[in-house]
Amino acid sequence: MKKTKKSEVSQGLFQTIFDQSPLSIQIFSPDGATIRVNRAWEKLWGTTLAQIKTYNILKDPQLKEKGIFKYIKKGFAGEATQIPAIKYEPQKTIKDISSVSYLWVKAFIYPVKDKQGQISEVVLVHEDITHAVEAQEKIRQSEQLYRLVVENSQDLISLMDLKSNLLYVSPSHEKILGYKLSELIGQNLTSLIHPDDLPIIQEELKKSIQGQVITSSVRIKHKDGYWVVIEGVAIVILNQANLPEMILASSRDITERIEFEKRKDEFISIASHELKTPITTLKSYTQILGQALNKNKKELDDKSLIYVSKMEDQIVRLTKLITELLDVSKIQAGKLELQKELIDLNVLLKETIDDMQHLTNKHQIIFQKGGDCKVLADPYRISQVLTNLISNAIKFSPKADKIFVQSQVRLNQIIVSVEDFGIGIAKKNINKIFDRFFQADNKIRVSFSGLGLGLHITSEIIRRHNGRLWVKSVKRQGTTFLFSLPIDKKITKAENINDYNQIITKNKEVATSSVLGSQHNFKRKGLLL
Amino acid sequence: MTKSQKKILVCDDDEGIVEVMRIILEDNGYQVKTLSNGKAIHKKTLEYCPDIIFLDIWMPGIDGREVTKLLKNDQQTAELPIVVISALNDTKKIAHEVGADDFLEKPFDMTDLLDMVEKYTSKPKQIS
Repeated sequence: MKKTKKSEVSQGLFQTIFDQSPLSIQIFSPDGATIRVNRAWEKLWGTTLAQIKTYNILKDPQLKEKGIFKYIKKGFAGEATQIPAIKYEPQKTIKDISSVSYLWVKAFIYPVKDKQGQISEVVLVHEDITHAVEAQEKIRQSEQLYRLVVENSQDLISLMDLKSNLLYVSPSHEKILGYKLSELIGQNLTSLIHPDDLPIIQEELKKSIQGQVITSSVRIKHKDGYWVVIEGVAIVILNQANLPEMILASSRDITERIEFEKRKDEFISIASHELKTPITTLKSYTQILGQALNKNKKELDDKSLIYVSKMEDQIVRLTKLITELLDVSKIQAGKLELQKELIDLNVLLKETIDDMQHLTNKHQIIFQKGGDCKVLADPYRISQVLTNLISNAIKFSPKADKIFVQSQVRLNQIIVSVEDFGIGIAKKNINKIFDRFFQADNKIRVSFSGLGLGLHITSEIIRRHNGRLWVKSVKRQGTTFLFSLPIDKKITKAENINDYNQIITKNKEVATSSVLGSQHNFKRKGLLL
Repeated sequence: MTKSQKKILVCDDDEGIVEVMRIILEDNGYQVKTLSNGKAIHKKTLEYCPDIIFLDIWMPGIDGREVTKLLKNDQQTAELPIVVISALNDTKKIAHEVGADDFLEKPFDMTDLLDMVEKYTSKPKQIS
C-alpha cells in the first residue's frame, strides 16, 4: 500500500516536472508513435498531441533527408544520443499541422527501459536554437558584407598599430602601390612615405591617437619607385578598456587629380601669357600711332599703314585665342552646337587647304583627293578641324617643306589624313594629346606657342560628328593625324536639299539637329527669310 | 655721349614684340640689335657691347632665366644692366630670383620702356 502511494507520489511529481519543464519533451513508444508531449513541446511546435496521431518518427522522411535519422535509430536501439542541430519544417511532414514554418532545434534522445531491460519508451528533448542560429547567421552575413566592401573597395583601407606598423591592407593596395599584400603587412607605414611628408604625417598620426579624425594627403612610394599621392582619413580604434589600440585609415589615389589641377594652373598661366603677348604689341603700336598723330596730325607717314596692318595681325591672333577659349568652355558646358548640312567634303578640304597655303611660304600643302562624296556635317567646324591639323603640322615640322592631306572613301566612311615630317610625338604622350590642357613637355611648349587646346577641340568636333580621330607618329620622323566621318548612304544620295528634307523627315533623330542646321544655313546665305 | 651711340639688345622669341620694340627704340634715337632666342646671346653681347639688354623669359632653347645667370656670372658682362620682360604673372619675382636689374611686365607702356632705358644708360658703360 505504502509502496503504491510512494509510486503515485513519484508519478505525480514526474507529471509536474514533465509539464512545467521549459524544455520541449516528446515521448515515443518503441514503434515510433508519440505517446505524450509536454506543454513546452506544444508551445514550441504550435500543435497538440491529438494532431500528430498519425506521425511516426521512424518514418519521417525529413529526418532522413537532413541526415539525423541514424541518431534517432540509435536512441530507439537503446543508446542515449546527442542529435546535431537541424532546421526542421513541420509543414513539410504533415500539411497544415502547425503555425510554425521552421525551427532550428538540437535534441537529445534517450530510451527508458523496464525492469527486464526492454525499451518501454523513448524520450526526445528538444532545444530551440533558432534565435542563436539566426543571430549567428546575421553576424556571418554582415561580416561577409563588410569583407566584400573592404576587399573590393577601390580605396586603400588599412589598419595599423599605434607605432604605424601595418596590420591589414585591403587588396586595392596591390593595384595602386604595386606591392604584394604580404610585402606590406608588418611594414612600417613611415618607410613608404616621402621624407618631406614624414614630419607632417607623424604629427597627424599623433593627433589621431589622441582621438582626432585626421585628413591628410601624402606621397607614398610605388614599388616601381615613383610617388603616388594619396589623400586619406584616419581614426583611432579603441579597445574594450577604451584605450587606443589601432589606427584605421581609408585613403584614395589622387595623383591624377593633382596632376590635372597642376595642368589647369599651368594652362591658366599659359593662357594669360599668350593673351598678353599680342596685346603688348598692339598696345605699343597704338601708342606709337597716338604719338605720331599728336605730333603731326596732317602728315602721317606711310609707316602708319604698316603699323595698322601689324595691329590687325595681332588682333587676328587674339581673336583666335579667344575663340579657342570660348570653344573649350562651350565643350565643357556641352553647348558646342553643330550646324549640319550636306557638304561635298573634297570641296571643303580644297578650300581650307588653299586658305592655309596663303599663310605659309615654307610648306607646300599637297592635297591627294580621294573619291567624291557628300557628308552631313558642319562645314565651319570641319574646316576648323582641318585648319587645326594643318596648323599643327606646320608648327611641328619647322625643318620640313611638305604636308600631305589625303581623303579616301572606305565603305561607309570617309577618312581624311594630315601627314607631316616633323618632330613627332613621344610614345608616352600619344594617348594624352587629345586631353584638355595637354601640351608636351616644357621645352616643346616654349618653342611652340599656343594654348594647347586645338586637338582637344578637334577631337570634340569629330566626336560630335560620330566620327573618329586618331594619330600615328614616329618621334623625329613625323606625325599623321586621321579623322573619319560617317557617310549615311540614304541621306548623302540625295541630290538636292528637297530630297534631303524628305529623307530626314522620315528619320526624326537626324532631323532635329540637321533641319535646324540647314535652315540656319539658308538664313545665313539669305535664301530663307 | 649722344643718344644714338647708346646700344640696346632685345632678345624675345615673339617676332611682333621684337619688331615693335625696335621701332620704338630706333624712333627715339637708340641703336638696336635683336635676337629671337638666347642661344648666342653671350657671344653677341661681347661682340656688340650693348648698354642694356631687354630679355624675355619664356624662350625656346635657353630661356631668360639661364641667360641672366650666364651673363651675371661672367665678370665681363656682370655689370651690364639686364631688364627682363615677360607676360608671366610673376615676372617681378623671377627678375629678383635670377639677379636681373629690373623688369617690365607685358603689356608695358612705351614710356616705361623708354624710361627704363634712360634709367640704366645714363650711368657710365660697365662692360669691360
